[in-house]
Amino acid sequence: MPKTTTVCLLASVLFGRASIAADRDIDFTRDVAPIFEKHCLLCHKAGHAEGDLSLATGDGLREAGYVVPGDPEGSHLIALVTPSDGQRPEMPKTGTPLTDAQVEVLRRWIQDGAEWPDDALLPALWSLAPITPIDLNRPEDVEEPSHWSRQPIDRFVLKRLRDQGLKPAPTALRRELIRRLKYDLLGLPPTPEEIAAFVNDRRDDAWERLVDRFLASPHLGERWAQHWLDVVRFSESNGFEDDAPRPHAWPYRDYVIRSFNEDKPYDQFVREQIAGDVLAPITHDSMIATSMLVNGPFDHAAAVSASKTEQLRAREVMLEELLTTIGQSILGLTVNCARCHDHKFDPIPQEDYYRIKAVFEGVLQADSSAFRAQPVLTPDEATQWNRDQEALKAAEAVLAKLREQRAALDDTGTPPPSDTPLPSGKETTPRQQEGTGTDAVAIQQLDGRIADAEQQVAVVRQRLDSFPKALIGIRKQPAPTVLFERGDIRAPGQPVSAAGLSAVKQLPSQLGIDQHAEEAERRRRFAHWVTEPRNPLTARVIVNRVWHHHFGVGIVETPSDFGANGGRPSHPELLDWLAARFIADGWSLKELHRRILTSATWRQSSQFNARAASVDADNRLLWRFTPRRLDAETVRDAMLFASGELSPQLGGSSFQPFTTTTFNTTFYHLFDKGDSEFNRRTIYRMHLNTGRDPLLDALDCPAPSVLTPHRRQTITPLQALGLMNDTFVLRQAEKLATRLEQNKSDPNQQIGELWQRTLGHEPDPDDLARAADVICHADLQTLCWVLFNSSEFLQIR
Amino acid sequence: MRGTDHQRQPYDEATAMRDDDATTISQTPLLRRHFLGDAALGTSAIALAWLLERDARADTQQPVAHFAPQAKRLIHIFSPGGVSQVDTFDYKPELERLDGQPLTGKGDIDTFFGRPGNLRKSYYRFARHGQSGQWVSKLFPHLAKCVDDLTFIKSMVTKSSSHTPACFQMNTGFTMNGFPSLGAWLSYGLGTENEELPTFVVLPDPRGLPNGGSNNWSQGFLPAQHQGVAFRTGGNGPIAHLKTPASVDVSHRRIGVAALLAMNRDVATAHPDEDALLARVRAYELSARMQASIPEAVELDDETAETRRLYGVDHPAIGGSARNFLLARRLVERGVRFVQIFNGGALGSPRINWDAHEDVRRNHDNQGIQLDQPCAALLTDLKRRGLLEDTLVVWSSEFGRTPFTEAKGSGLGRDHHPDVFTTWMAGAGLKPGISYGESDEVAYKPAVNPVTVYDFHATILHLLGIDHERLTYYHNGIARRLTNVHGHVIQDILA
Repeated sequence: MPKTTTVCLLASVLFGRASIAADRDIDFTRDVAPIFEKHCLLCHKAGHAEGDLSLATGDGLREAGYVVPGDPEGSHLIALVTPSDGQRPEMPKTGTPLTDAQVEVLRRWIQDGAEWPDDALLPALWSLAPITPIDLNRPEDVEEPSHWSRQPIDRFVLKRLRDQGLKPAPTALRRELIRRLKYDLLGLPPTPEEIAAFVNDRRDDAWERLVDRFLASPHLGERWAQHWLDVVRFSESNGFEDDAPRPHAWPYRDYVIRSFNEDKPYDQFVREQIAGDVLAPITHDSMIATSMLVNGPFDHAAAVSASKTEQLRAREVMLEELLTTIGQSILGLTVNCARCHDHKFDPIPQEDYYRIKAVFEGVLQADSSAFRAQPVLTPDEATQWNRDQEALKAAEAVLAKLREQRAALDDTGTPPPSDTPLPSGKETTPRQQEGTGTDAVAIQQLDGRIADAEQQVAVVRQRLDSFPKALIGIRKQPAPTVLFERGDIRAPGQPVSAAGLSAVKQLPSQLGIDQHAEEAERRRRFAHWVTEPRNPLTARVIVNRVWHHHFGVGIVETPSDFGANGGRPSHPELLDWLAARFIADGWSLKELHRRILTSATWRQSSQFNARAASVDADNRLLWRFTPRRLDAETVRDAMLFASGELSPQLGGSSFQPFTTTTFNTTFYHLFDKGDSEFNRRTIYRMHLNTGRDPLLDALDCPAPSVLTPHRRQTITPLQALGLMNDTFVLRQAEKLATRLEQNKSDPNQQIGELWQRTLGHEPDPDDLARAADVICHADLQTLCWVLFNSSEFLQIR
Repeated sequence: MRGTDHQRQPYDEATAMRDDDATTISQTPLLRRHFLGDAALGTSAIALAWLLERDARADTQQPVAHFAPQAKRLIHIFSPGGVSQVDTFDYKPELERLDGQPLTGKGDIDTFFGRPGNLRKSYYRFARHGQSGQWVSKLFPHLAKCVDDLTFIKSMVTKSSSHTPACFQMNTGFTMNGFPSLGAWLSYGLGTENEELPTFVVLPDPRGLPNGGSNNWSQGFLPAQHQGVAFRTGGNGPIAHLKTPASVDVSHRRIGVAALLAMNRDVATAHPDEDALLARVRAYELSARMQASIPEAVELDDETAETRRLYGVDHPAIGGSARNFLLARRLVERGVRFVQIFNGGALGSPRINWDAHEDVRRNHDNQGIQLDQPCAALLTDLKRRGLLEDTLVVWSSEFGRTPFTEAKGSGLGRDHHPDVFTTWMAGAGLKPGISYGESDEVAYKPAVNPVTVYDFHATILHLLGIDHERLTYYHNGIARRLTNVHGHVIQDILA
C-alpha cells in the first residue's frame, strides 16, 4: 500500500464565501484542497480522469502545465476558472463556479509556489482526518475570553463572527429562554410557575440550575429518544406487503429513553445496539438494544416466496437497509452507495460494503416466515430457560396423561391402570355410582393430581412468561460473505471477511478475523472499531447531531452525511474541540447538552440583523438564535400539556388510537378519543408505516422507515386545515378553556393564564382587547383554539 | 379560480405565464423556488406559502433548465396484482400451439410460488382493432376502440416477483419502503397549477386500499407537501380535516379565524424577516379556499347524462370505479398535476385486484370490467375536450403473469411474472397506435428492446418536460432521483 497521509481538510471554505485574510498564509490542505475537492474532483480524479487530468496528487496539474509555480497569470488553471466577458468560466463544467475569493486563494497559492505536499492525496475527506486537539490559546481559532463568552464554544463562534465583522445578538429574555429550553430539552412548554420562578431567580447560576433541573427530568429521554428513533428507522409495523403491527417493538423505544435519561455513555450505547446480545456485560437492556439491527421494514411476502431469487433479493435489500442505517446514523457515511461499485464521491471501495455486510451477515429478522417477539434472555437465563422449557414439556406431558386417564374414566367408568392404588370412600357422581365404589375414589384422586399438575404447568409457564419480550431478531452463523459484482446477486465474486472502513486510517480496518469467524465475534469487534476513540467519525457525528437539534442546523448541515457530497463544517475547530471534549467526558451526552446550552451562543435572542443576514443569510455563523417551528410531536404534546390532559405515564407498550382489519395487509382505522391512555406523549404512539396520523403527517412527522436526520418545517394549507379542524385540537381547546375557567373567574385573568400557558408571556393591551372580543362574541374555547393555531404558539424563538 | 392570481411572480412566473401563453413554457426554468417574502403583507404577492421549505440544499441542487413539456399533467391508472399480458394485450399465437406443454429451453424457472405448470394459451380470444390494427383481447371491448390512441410497451421488465416491492418500484422507482413516489417527484419538480387543490391526488379503488396503503403515494424524504392526497370515497368528505366539524359553532369559527389571522399578521409584521410567519398567514387563507374548491371538484352533479353514461357512473357494478375515472378528468381539468387511479385493492380474498393465482378467467373478468369502460370513457372524454393533447395517461400493473399455469388448485391460475409484461401510454407527445418492444414467442422474456421501470419513468418525466437525471433531491449523502442511476428515455415512442 502506498504510504499516504490523508489530508486534513478543516475547510475554511464556508458556503462558497471563502476569504482569507491578506496577511494569512495560504495552506494547501486548509485552503486549497477543499476547493479542488468540492469543485474539481468529481471529474478529475484518479481512475476517472476527465481530459486525462487527475487532481488526486499534485503531479497531474504540474505535468499538464496547468500550474506554473510563481506565475498565476501564466497558469492555465486560473484562466479556466475565471469568468470572462460575463460568461460562465470554462471550469467547472457543472455545479457552482468558483467564487472570486476562491479564485483568489488559488492565485495566491500559485504565487507562493503552488506547493502540494508530497503525501497529500485527494480526495481525502475532512471527516476522516483525526480529531485535531484544539489549543484554546490559538488566536487563529478562538477569541480571547470576554465578558460575552461563557463557554469555550462562544470563543470559537465569536472568532468567526468577528472575522466577518459581525456581532452576536443580545441575550434573549428570560421568559423566552425558559420556553426555548424546555421545548428543546423536554419537548414541553413551561408552566406559568416555572416561568415566574426563573424570571425572579436572582442567583448568578440561575440559568445553569435550570439547565441541570431539566437535564434531570425523565422527559428528557422522551424528547431526545425521538431524534434517535428518527435515524434508526424505528418501526412498529412491518411495512412492505402486510404492514403487520409489531406489538413488542416498544422495549427498544424505552431502552433509548432510559439510556438518555441515565446518561449512558454514547460509546456504550452504540456498542449495545450493534452487539449488546454478545458483548459482556449482557443484560436485558443490552439485548433489547440490538432491536436496532432489525427495526427496519420486514418483507414477509419475500420470506414465504418459493423463489430463491426473490428470497435472496429481499435478504440483500434488508442488509443494505441495515448498512444504510449504521453507515449514515452512526458513522455519517453513505456506505450503502458502495453496494454496486466503489463509492463515487467518498473513499469507500465496494469491498468495504461487503466487509461490513459480513459483520451483520448473521443477523436476521426471522428464520421462517414470521417476525416475532421473543423472550429476552441473558446467557445465564437462557440455560434456566431451556431447563424450564424441558420442565414445561414434562409437566405438560404428565398433565396430558392424567387428563387422558380422566377422560377414559368418564367414558368407561373404569379406572385405567394406575401406578398408585386408589383409596376408597368419598362421594361419587350419579353416573359413577353405577360403577364400582373404587371409581369415585379414583376419580377424586385423579382430579387432585390433575389440579397439582395444572399448578405445576402454570408455575413454569409463569416463570417463562416473566421474561420481557422484545423484537430482536435471530442470529445465525452465515456462510462466508461474497462480493457481488455490480451488486448483482447473480454474480458472486470473491469471499470477504468482516472489517471496518478502510479509509479510517487511524485504526486497522481489518478486525483480525477471517471469513469463517463466529457471527458474534464479528459484531463484537466491529462495535469496538466503531467506538474506538481514534475513530474520527463516531464522536464527530453525534456531537454534530446534538448541535443540530439545539440550533436547528448542525455545524455540518448534513448530520447523516460527512462525505464529499455533504456539507462542510461551518466551525471545524469547534466541532473537533467538542468531539474531543465529548470523548474526554466519557462520551456523556448530558455534559454535551450542558456545554452547549450554557453557552452565550445558544442564549442569544432571535433578533434579526439585516447586515448579518446580508453576509450570512442562513445564520451558519450563529449571529442569532434561528427561530423554528415546533415539530409534530411537540405540537401535540404541548397542546396536551397546556390543556392539563397530558398523561404522566412513562414507558410501556405503545398506545394504539386505531382499530385494525386484515385483508392480506393490515389496515389501520384511526379514531380520536380523549381517554387518558391516548393522551400520552406522542413518542408512545405506535410508530406505524401506514396508519399514520394525518395531523402529525402534515406537521412533517416522517414515515418511520425513512431515515430522517433533519425534520422539515413546512407550512401548508393541509397543515392549516389539520390544526383548525382536527378533533384532537378542538378537544384540547375545550379542555384548556375548562381549566382556565376553573382556575380564574375574571376573563382578563383567564386571558393572562392562557397566554402564559401557550405563549409563555403575558398578553399586551392589544392582545387583551382582541382576546376579550373573541370571548365576548364567541367564547373562551374559541380563543384557546386561536392560540393553538397561532404562529407564536407554533414557533420557538 | 385558476389563473385569477397573476401576482404570483416573481417566484413562479412560469405558472402565471402558463395560464396565458403556453408558448413561453420553453423558457421556463424548472420550478424550484425560493420563498420570497413580501414586506407589505399583501398576501396575493406572497409566494405559495406551502412551498416554504427550510432546506437550502434542496434548492441549490435543482436543475435550472429543461425542455418544453409535451404533457402538463399525468394520469396513472395502476392495476395492482399483476395483469396477465397474454390475456390482455400481448397476443401470442405460439401459445396456442404449445398449450398444455411444459416450457423448455428458457433456463431455470423460478416463480414466486414455485409450482410452474404447463404453458396455457390465452383465456380470451384476441382480435385486431382500429386503423392501427393492434391486438386486444375480448376482455376489453371498450378499450379496444381506443387502440389508435394507445402506445403499447410490450417488453417491460421489473425487479421483484413479489407484489409490494414491485409496486414500490412502479410507484417510486425503488423496491424498498421510504422512497418518494412518482407523483411526489412531479409535485416537487413542477409545482402546482392550482394552489387550491392538492398537486397529487390519489383515487383508491372504491373496493379498498392497496397493500401498503399510503406507502404507495408517500413523499418519502421529500417535504410533506408532496405527499399524495388520497381522496376518500366514503361520506366524510374527500380528505381529512376539510370540513369544519359539526360541533363547531359557525359564527364562533368566523370570529376565531378573524382573530387568528389578525394575530398571525401582527406577528409577521413584527418579524418581517421570517418567511415562515408570512407563509402561515397565506396557508390559512388558502386552506379556507380549499374548503370550497375541493368539494366543488368532486361533485359530479354538473356532468351531463351522456357523460355519466359514457363512464358508467350509474352502472351498479362499475359505478364506483367510473366515478374515479370521471373525477380524474375533473381534477386534471382544474389543474391537478398528477392523478393516480387505483384499479384494484389489496391482495386478500375474495380478490379485489388482478392477482389471478386461482383462476385467470374469473379474476380478470371481474377486474377487467372495472377498468374497461371507465378507462375508455376517460380517454374518449379527454380527447373530445382537447385535453389529451397535453395530458399523459399511463396504464400499468406492477408486473405480468406467467405464460404457464400455476400447478396447484384448479390449475387455472398464473403466477407473478416480473420478466416481461405490457403497459401502455396515451396522449401528449407520443406516437399513437404503435407498439414498442416485443416479448418472446410465449411472452416469457423480452425479445426486442427490453424496457425497465427506470426507462418507463424516464420517459414519463421527459414527456412532462423533466430530464430524469436532473430532477434530484439531496438526501443523506445522495442526490436522489426517481430513476436511481439508471433509465433511458424511449425515444422511439415519442412523436
